Amino acid sequence: MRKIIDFLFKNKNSNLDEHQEQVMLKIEHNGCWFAFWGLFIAMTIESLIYGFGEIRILAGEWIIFMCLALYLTVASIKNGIWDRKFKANTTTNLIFSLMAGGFVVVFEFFVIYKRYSDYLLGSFAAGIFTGIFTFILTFVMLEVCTKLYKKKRKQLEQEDETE
Amino acid sequence: MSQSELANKAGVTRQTIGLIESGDFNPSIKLCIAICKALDCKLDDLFWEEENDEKNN
Repeated sequence: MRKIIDFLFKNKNSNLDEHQEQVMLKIEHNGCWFAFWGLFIAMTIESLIYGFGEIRILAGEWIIFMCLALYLTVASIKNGIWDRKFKANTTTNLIFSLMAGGFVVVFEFFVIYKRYSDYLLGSFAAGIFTGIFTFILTFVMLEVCTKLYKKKRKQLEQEDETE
Repeated sequence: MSQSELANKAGVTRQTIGLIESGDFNPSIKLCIAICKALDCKLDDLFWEEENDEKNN
């Protein structure tokens, strides 16, 4: 047993050289995003098929998805990183919050309308209502994360200066 | 010295040496030094780039 543990965990030397390590990181990077969006799409499709009444069907995917999202967010902010392309400001946060809200309006409408096909206006209203709350929640979370990121960025810059 | 021999001495794969030579991979300073030691020359001799070359790249 000890030999197995030693074999699995004690070998610290890498078999990969620098370039292979970079390629490996790229592969793992792509795998991570494939898993992230794959889970998101899977949950979306399952919700459309089964509706929100069957939340336990989504539970597994939801837990993994949220753990992944949380890890990516916390690790990025902890290292003072926001995004490759977009800046951490209110305008960008507003745009993405609107996109999230818009997606939820459409998604919620279809999920509810599928279940209650006699209530077109009601489904639409429910979609709008949920979309607005999603927009507000997303915007608040993004603003909080932006603040934390800027605070960390400042701290890291000052640490570098001191050194 | 062949690429394979150099790769062996520097502790990397032949593929990596090939990519460095073609300019498709930027090695770390650690690897640069390892390659220089393997070839018994200085960093400037191997890894210096003239201004014209930089502009072209």
